[in-house]
Amino acid sequence: MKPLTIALAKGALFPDALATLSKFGITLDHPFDSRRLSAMDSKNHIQVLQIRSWDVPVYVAMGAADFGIVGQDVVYEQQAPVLHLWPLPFGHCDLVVAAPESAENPIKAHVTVATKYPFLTQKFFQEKGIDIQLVKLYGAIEMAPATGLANIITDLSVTGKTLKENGLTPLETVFKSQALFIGNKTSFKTYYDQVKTWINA
Amino acid sequence: MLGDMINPLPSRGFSPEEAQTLQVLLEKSRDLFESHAFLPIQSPTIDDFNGLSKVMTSSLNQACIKFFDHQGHIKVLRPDHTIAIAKLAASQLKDTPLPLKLYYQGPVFRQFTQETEIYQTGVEYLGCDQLDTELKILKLAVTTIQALGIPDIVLDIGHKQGHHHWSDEEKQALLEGRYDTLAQLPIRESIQHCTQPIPLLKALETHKMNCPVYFNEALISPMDYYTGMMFEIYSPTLNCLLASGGRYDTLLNAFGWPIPAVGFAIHLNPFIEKGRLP
Repeated sequence: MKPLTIALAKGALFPDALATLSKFGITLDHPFDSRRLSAMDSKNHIQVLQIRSWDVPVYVAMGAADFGIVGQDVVYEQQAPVLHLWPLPFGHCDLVVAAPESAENPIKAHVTVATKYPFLTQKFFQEKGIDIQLVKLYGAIEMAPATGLANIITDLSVTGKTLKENGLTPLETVFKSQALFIGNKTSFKTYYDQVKTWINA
Repeated sequence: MLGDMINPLPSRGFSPEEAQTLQVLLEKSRDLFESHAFLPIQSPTIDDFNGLSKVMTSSLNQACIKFFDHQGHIKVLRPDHTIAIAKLAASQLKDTPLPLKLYYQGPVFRQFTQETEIYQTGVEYLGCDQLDTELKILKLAVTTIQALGIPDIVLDIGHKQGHHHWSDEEKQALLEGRYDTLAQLPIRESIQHCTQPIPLLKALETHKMNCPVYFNEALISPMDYYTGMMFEIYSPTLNCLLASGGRYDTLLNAFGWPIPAVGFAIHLNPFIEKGRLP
């Protein structure tokens, strides 16, 4: 039988995600480094994957991984059909609306918004009744207003420092995020007893 | 919804080997259903959307593949066998003596799933509200899947009676898998250890199902029409859902025939993808 597989998001969450696994009692045979994509806990027959955060919900939804640790921002943006099991106490950040410091009344109808999070952003403005134009970007969102690509942006922010360095002011919070432990719907049944021990770890 | 991750309308068809597997699955299940005195029924592939949509959940409404006929009426490719058969039976079979035991075979069509054409076979047992019928239906579902070549299965049972303590918001959270918003993880326990005061679960202690059986509080059907027990059968080794069903005592009434019903659908695509010949 395929080992129980847990997918962890690469990047900022990764060290805390590994620490969470060790609280679960998972001990890896070899430590991860930046190039190693998977590792085993052969005693417990558990496999751990290190993959891009945006791939974690896909792996879990399709059953290639049974469980995963990834930011809520990613899970809610993708609307992935996975179980949201419980939040983890790290990876806190906000998806915020930010505009150039000089802009007057920047949140208004027909404004162009650059973002990596089109779903959450669209939903946010729709609920406010503001019709916007979206530009989907994959990185360096902060540059969009200065280059004329968009009037405002929505982007993740922990301290607001990067926004400030790019002459942007955070205005409103679209989504508050932290790390989330997610599960495949069938795997949750198969490993229910195991999961019950983890939630108390 | 998988829509953002995959092609929203994937349809790939079957190779000769896969088509052969499908034929064998259909033949085997047909023989079994007929040996239990179920009669075949065939609902239309194309139906009126407005007639069916009143009993569909919003997510199924979205998943439907709709189009216009030349007069501008909205048509739909059959999104669900149970709803289509309830409508058909209520309009054409009202004079038939009850109970009415029907089985069906064929695809349902949904978008934003891994496959647009989802092959199913299953039964609808109309006009009987007895506990005994529920037990028979559960047993038939388990027996059929095992006869189709997957012995290692698990049966999870949920029940509307087990949901009284949930608020509507909590039920919605359960349905959408947002367990992180609940005070605790939903309970799932072997029926031997289950203390739920639900007659069906008590009866299952003595009626052996030939597979492990669990009470699963999280089992909330995405279909609005279930009124009592709901169940799912899955394979831990294949890691996929193989069948789902339950009791739906108000569905036929929505089409003008107030009779109780219970039934299930077996999802055949996993059997074909795993290339297992029964």
